[in-house]
Parts: sequence; C-alpha cells; structure tokens
Amino acid sequence: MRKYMWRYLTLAIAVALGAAFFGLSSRAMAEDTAAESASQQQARTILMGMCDYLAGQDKFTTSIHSGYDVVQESGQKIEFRQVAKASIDRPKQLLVASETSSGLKQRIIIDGSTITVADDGHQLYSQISREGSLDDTIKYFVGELKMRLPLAPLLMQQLPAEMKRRTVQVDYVEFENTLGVPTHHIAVQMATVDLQLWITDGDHPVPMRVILTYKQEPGAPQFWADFSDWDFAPQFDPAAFTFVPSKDAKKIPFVSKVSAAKGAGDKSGTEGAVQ
Amino acid sequence: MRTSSIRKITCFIAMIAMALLVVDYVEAGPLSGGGNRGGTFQNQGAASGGNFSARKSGKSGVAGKKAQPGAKAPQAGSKTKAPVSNAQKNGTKTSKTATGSAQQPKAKATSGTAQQVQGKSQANQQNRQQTMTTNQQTRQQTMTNNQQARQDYIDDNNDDWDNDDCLTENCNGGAILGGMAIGAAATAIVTQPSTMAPAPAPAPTTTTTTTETTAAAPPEGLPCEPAVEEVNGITYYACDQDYYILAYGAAGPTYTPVPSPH
Repeated sequence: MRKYMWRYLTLAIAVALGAAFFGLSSRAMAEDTAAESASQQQARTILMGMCDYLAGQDKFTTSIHSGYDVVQESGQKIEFRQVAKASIDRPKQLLVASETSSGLKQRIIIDGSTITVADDGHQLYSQISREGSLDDTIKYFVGELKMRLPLAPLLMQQLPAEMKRRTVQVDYVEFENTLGVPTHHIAVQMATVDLQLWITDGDHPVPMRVILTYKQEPGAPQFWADFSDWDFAPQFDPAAFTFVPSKDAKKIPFVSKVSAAKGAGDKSGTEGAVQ
Repeated sequence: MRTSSIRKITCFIAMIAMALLVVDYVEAGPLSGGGNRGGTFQNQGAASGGNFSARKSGKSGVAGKKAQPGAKAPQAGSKTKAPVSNAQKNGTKTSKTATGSAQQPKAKATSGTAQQVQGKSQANQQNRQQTMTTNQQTRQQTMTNNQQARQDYIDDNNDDWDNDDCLTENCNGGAILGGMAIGAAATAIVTQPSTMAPAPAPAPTTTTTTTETTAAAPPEGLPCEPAVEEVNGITYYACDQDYYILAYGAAGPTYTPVPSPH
C-alpha cells in the first residue's frame, strides 16, 4: 500500500513539474509571437504569399489603371492618371507601355543589355546600356536614372525580400467581394509609406488594387492602382522587347545623366549622353 | 494516517499544477492575443461619405479611437521629412513601451487571482510569481529592445533605392511636352538658368557647326521663344544666355538647362 502511495506521489510531482515546464514554455512562445496577433499573422501570410507567387512566375502580363494625387501650392489635390500594360519575361526582359492623362505615350523596354524609354508620341527616346538581371536593372532605372516605374517592387523577383525588409507592421482589414473577385484587404505600414493591398483569395494570390499613402508628405498624397487581366502564360512576340527607332525618332539623353555631367562640370558628358 | 497525508500532498501538488496552467493561460492569453486585431478598423472618417467637404479636425484623416503605431498625428502638416521621421520613431517607441508596461499590472492582477486559488501556499506562490514577473519583464524588455533595434534599422536604412521624390509621383522632372507643367522641377527649369555655372570654353578640337533658327512657337516649358542651335549634332534651345536641351526625365522628355555650348 505504501509502495503505491509513493508511486502516486512521484507521478504527481512529475505531472506538476511537467505542467509548470509546459506552462512556462508556452507562455514564452506566446510572448515571442505577441508582437503579432493571429490576424496580423494571417495578413502577413497572405501578403508574403502574394509576393512569393509573383516572384515565382517566369513571365506574366497585367493591365494597370493608376492615378495619383499632386498637392498643389494652394493645398488642393489634383489627380492624374495612367493606363499601362506591363509584360515581364524573366530573367531579363520587361516592357511597360503606358499612356498618361497628360498624353504621354511611353514605352519602357529592358532587353537584358539595353534600357530604352521611348516617347512614341513625340518620336523621342533615350537609351543606355545596362547588363544584368531584371531586378538590378529596375533598381538602376529607378534609383540611378531617376526614372519613373510605379510599383516597381511588384515587378521584381526580389519582391518578397523587399516587402519583408520594408514592412514595419501588417494588419488584416477585411475580406471583401467588391472587386469582382474575393479579396483580402491588407494594410501595411512602412517607414515612410503606408500600403494597402487587395489580394485575391485562393491559390493564385495577386494584387487587384494597391494604394500607397505618402504619409509624411504634406497633404499625404496617394497613389493608387487597379490591376486586371493577369496572365501568367502569355505568348510574347520576341520583337516586343526590341526597340527599333523610327527614321524620324530622335535620341535624347536621360535628365539624370545631363545633371550628372553638369554636376561634374563636364560638358562632354552631356554630349556623350546624347550619342 | 500516513496514507492520508500522502493523499493530501498529492492533491495539493495537483492543485499547484492546475493553478500554474490557469495562471499561464490567463497571463499569456491565447496565441492570437496581443497587437491589433483585424476587423476593428474604423470604417468611418473624413472621406468615408465621399462628400466634397470634410471635418477640419480630421487633419490626418485618421478616424476612430485606435491609434496605430507609427504616430500618424505628427505626420500631418509636417513640412520636412527628418523631424517627422524622428517623431514617428519616438511615437513608435513610446507606443511599444506603453504596451510593455501595460502588461505588467495585468500579470500582477492575475497573480492575485492565482493566490486566492492556492490558499496555504501563498508565500511560495508569491515567490514564484515574483520570479515569473521578473522573467516576463526581462523578456518584455528584450522584445522592446529588439523592436526598437529593428525600427532603428528601418529608419537608418531609409535611403532605399526607390525613395527618390520622383517615385512619389509628385516630381515631373520638368515641363512635359504636350502636357501640364506641375511640380517643383518645372519651376526649377525657370529658376535654374540664373544660377548656372559659367559656360566652359569650348574644346579646341571640337568641330562646331551651328545652324541658328527660330522656333515657330514657344515650346511649353521654356521661358521664351528659343533660338534653336545645332552644335555637334545636339539641339540646343537658347533663351538669352541660357541653354537647354531635351532630355528624358521621370515624366517624359523635358527641357533641361545645360551650359552654353559656346
């Protein structure tokens, strides 16, 4: 009898110690994840799922209808718009054909060795040699040439890393059906920009709508874009990524190259950029 | 008698185990606890009605009770980036610190509940609770420090490759051909020539063929009806002593001030 009692006692102590250990461990785990709630984790999963999905595609096309605010000196916000079709053929080719509300009809062509930007309406174009991956070329185009490519990170294979690096906080807003397909509305806070995305539900998560809020700018202007016609098996005409200037087209330098030449007091830099 | 004592001890230990589990669950909460929960965003604000007027108090456009980390209030109306960035950083830190300290009274209150359950072993429980609270504070402090470090890293590495103002769609890079000239750079086109460096002397080896013509109409974005000159295959547009060439900017071809070709 006494033997059994000691067994019960030993078992009880073991249970108590186990419970205490389990409790402390689970609480430590809970604290590790306390920075993000379940809905935040869900939002992050959806966000990163979309990033991984886009980054994992070899090629795709999408139509982008976008607009943005410009805060005038009077404080009035004026919206300007653009329609564009983006064609991505990884690892090296990109074509973004767009028309702005100001009438600029433009093509951005990256073919793996050259960047071309053409104003087809005015028969003007700029070209510069650039070897390398599409991601690096996009970074060069935006970062060093100071050219405009809205939502550039969405076109890059480094999108997951870019998103992860920039995201300060992510929240799940709601599930909705107002965009024609079921979407998850995700809110992302970054250091200087707030981002909202509507990401399709299901196995092919793509953004259907994006809003960027430049929260530190006076008036907090916004950029928005609606996506449509996502196609992940497009048939590209090889000539689409090749720029052939018309006989009347005139080559001009990039502004950033002119500025760089001026900054260096080098007049020949301007001339060289034109050649 | 002895068996009875052992049974009592066994029951007592089992109660301790149960109490610990209850305390842990209440303190830590379910895994979904903490932070902002989805579905609780305010859906009414200055713009929710789509009206042509908005309340003046909603300067930041942020409505509702839930202040999101990131200190949005100081951002509205700020003119410069750096102070706002600091304010935002401080705001975030303050918010997180407040969250950390808010959890501690909760732990103590829960501890009180646990003590009532335990009855006799109040002193021991207090010791354990003290240790747990201390550990929790340490972990919370570590988490706060890590979050601050991450935030500092983000703030310190804000010079991303795409953080140029032109990416915010507010920069035109100059006057747009056939379009409306808006933005700071468009003004710069007019003001920059007066601050341009003197033109360097032409290189002696340069062969210059100049054909001077007058444009039929003043192009948009230039301060005058320019004299058009071709120098070494480059078209220059001259307004008095100021020269421009066409160059491709963020918003399309634009007249860009350059040194005189002469």
